[in-house]
Amino acid sequence: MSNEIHKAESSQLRPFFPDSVTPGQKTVERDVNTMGESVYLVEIAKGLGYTMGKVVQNLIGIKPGMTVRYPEVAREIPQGYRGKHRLTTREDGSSKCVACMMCATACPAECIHIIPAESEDPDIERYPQRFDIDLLECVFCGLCVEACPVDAIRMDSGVYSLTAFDRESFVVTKEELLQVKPNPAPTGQVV
Amino acid sequence: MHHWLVPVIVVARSALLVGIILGLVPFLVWLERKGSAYIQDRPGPERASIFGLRLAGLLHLVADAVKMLNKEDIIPSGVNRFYYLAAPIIVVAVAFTTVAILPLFDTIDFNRVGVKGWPVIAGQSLDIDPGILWFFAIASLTVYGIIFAGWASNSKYSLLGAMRASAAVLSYEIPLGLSVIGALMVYGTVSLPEIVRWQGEHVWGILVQPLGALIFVVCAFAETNRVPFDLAESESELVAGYHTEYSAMKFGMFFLAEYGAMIVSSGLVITLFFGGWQVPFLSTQALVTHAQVITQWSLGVAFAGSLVAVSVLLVNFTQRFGIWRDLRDYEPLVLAALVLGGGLTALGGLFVLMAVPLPVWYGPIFAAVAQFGMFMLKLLLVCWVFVWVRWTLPRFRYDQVMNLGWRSLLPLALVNILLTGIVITVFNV
Repeated sequence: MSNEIHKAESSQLRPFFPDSVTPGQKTVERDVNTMGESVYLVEIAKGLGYTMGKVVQNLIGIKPGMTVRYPEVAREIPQGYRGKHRLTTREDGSSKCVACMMCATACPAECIHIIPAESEDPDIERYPQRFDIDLLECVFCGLCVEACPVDAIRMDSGVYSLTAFDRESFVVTKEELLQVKPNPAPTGQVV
Repeated sequence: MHHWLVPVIVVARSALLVGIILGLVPFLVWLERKGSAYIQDRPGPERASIFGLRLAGLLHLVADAVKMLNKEDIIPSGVNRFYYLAAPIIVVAVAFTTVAILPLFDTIDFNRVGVKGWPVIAGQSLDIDPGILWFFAIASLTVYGIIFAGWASNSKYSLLGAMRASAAVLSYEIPLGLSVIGALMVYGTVSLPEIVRWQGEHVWGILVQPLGALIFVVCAFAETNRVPFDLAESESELVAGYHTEYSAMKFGMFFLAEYGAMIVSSGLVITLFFGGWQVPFLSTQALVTHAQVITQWSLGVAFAGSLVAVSVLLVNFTQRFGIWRDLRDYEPLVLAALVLGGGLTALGGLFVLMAVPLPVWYGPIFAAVAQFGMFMLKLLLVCWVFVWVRWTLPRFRYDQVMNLGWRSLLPLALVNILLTGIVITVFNV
């Protein structure tokens, strides 16, 4: 009795009508295991053969592996790689930055902290008294570079290995950022 | 009448067995890491070195062991301390106890060569009548360790892992036991040394019991909770299964027990189906009688092998010099010097042996050493299969594991018993 009720319900609930395939509708065959596949053994043997081939290949060293032996060998940096920030300078060596706060406003991580000051040069309104970037907060998105109206900040240093023993060391000041050199070309050298 | 040397021999043999586990486990970890690396096109562990010697990454294990012993040992709050601490002890104890039944070599009997009054040394620590039944009895106790660990940890991941592990182990114990019955019917004994001797006199068990061997190997994978049956610690779902809450050396003990179980399973596979310590084509008697000739041949082969190894190392040196830019670059030279030294020693030994005959008691000892070496070679090959399968196959889903165990392997094991019985009855062998 209960069985019949169950059957009736399941036939009512069946939503799919095989006859009513609309034109353009694609019927995908279900990927059902064949007899041979569900015995597993043949497929397992195939897989084992493949992996053993890999082992032999790597043991003899037919093909050089794709592993880069960092830090002895560093990977080449592609063009446009966003590394550690640097502040560009005018001819007299001072920062090009005019402390307009565009970069700090654009920054999604809010890692740029600028304290502006009034410039003594009549042609320049403001300069950054302090310009700190917290590299631990930075997401290296490059929006500050895009936002800068005077091309004062760039990320073309190619420096990606940022290491220190304490958090304070990751807050880089204006003076440090002015010292960072641009990466002359993508190189394979340790940086 | 016991010889006075007997206690010494018993202790030495037990130490050998414990040494096999403690010595092989780091090696197997290395095999696992290096094998998986090569399967996945990676170089694997290769950096750690002492004075420039890397030994293909083996020294990483020294670093691992030091790390494991020095880590902070945390007992989480809310655990049931007694069972929490008992669990790793149980699993390790089981691994060390089950290995005692593996016969490592044929009985050393000096009466074979006419030397009287020397002790007869059996090739296994625990020469008892139940034989393989002892293994099944003790190995089942692992489940207690797993359940204790899962329950006492007071963590849902651990509990789920323990439930899965115990379910898998209990389900697969049945086909495991049944798969052996066909083999035992053929051998006519449950004593492992006798089983190995039968295989020496007739053929390897794999040829008379192919289906039984297949079921046994599959169940052995499940018993050791390894891929493709590692649903107990499927890290994508359960963090690490029943040992999630364990740290430092207590985790290390679970680790040790897992590899210990793998060694014992491999040992049983070769003992039951691959001739155990039998050296192919050479009976114990042949090894004892021709000890001198075989030693000379092996020394010659060792010398030739050392020359090949030296040339490979030198090619390696010229090709890869300058990668490390430190002492590690000179490692192939040092190894080549060592291998060449060993090869020349073998050559010298060969010349000495050509002139001087060895004493008569050398025969039985040589036979035992050769058989032990063959046992270890087979053991490592089967262990490699464990590793190989682990890094080839994906994990079975829980219901697939249960289906395979109850609906495929159990009936197959029963069919195997039936077929074996029919063949034995009809052909009266």
